[in-house]
Amino acid sequence: MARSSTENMITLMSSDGEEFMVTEKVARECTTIRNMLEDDCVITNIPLPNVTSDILSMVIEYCMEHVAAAEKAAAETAEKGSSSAPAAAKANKDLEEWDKAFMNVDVYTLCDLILAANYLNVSGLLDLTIQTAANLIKGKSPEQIRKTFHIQNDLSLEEEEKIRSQTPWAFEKSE
Amino acid sequence: MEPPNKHTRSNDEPATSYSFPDLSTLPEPVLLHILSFMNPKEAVQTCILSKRWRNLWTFIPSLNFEHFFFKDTTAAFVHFVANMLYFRGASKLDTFRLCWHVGSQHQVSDYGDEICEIHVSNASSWIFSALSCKPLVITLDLRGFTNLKLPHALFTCTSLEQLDLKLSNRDNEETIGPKYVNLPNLKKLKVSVLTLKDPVMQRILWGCPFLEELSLSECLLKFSEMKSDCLRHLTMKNCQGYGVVEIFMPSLISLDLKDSW
Repeated sequence: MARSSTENMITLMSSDGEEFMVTEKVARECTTIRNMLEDDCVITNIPLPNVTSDILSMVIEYCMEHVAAAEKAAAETAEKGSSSAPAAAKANKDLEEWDKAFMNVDVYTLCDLILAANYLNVSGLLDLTIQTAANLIKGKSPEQIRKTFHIQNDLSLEEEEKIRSQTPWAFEKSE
Repeated sequence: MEPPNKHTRSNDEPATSYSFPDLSTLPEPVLLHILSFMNPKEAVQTCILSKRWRNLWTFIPSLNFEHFFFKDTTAAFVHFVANMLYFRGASKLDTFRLCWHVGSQHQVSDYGDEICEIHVSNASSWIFSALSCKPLVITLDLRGFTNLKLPHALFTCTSLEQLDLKLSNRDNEETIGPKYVNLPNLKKLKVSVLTLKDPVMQRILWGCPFLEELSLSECLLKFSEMKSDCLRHLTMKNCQGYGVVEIFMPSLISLDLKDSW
């Protein structure tokens, strides 16, 4: 398929007033924006009052990388008639590595990214950030989880004991 | 006028660039999404993190009970799953997955018939609990159970859109023998390692008026015809048939008979 040279550009505006010009294809990675575009196709300027500029730039970086990877895979398939399995596997692995490196962020940024991915409805980014958060919780003691995620413990010792005694089956040690 | 922070849950977290969200300030669906990605035992244990987390686990919409990942004894696994399903009650459940092999085929005999029977009734009662929460997707991987009889309610669960059954009951023809099938929302059905007999197969096809994909693998096919007006994709992988099976499916787009017959 020939790609149109005059690709539509969309301006996304962050909560702190910064403007980001992206191709429509990249913007469409966000389901929330795709729905806006489908409702009103002449829209070119979209304010996003819930997303700051540093987080928005990261979301855009993620979308651009994933659009580029999808385009590259499609181009290779078109060229060779069919996609070669090892090449596709390598491309997938590369993208996974990229995702992993992209998730090397502090917890505040991670939570902000989760909120942004949730609001903009970028399903790939939402799954990636949520999985990262889940992995950070896994295998940690309650104290470590609170410390990692800066969770204020508003339960008294007695209350904590009470919860433990009400759900003993969840705290039984294995073996 | 609209309230300024419609998307935030509590008043003390402004939606400005200056807030530092910690995990507890994320919206509830997001926290539940995180808990869904965890081992259920660790997910329940978050109940002592803070007041916000105390009852969150009861609303997890996706449960994945996989014995292997519990690293617990079978007794501890049974105790945990039974309690979690009981105490979460009838909260909304989208996805239920139970993967319990009771060891491999060789190990089953170690348990003895009596214990195996107890596990069969445990598995059935959990499936029953899950069904009462109107799930969309059910995946049961119960290879190793020899005397399993799936509850009839599984075949009349009107909310169900996807059902994946991995069993190892080619010798036991009674594993699925529903007298009545009514799965009006089922789109995808996957069955592996089962014996499917004549009235049962056709009863399933009649009872799923919107079924689009049917995939049978390593099944013994003891029926002579399959009729469905809606089925679009039919796959039979490593299936063993007895004689001719006539397929009447006007909507069929793809047919894959890999290593069958």
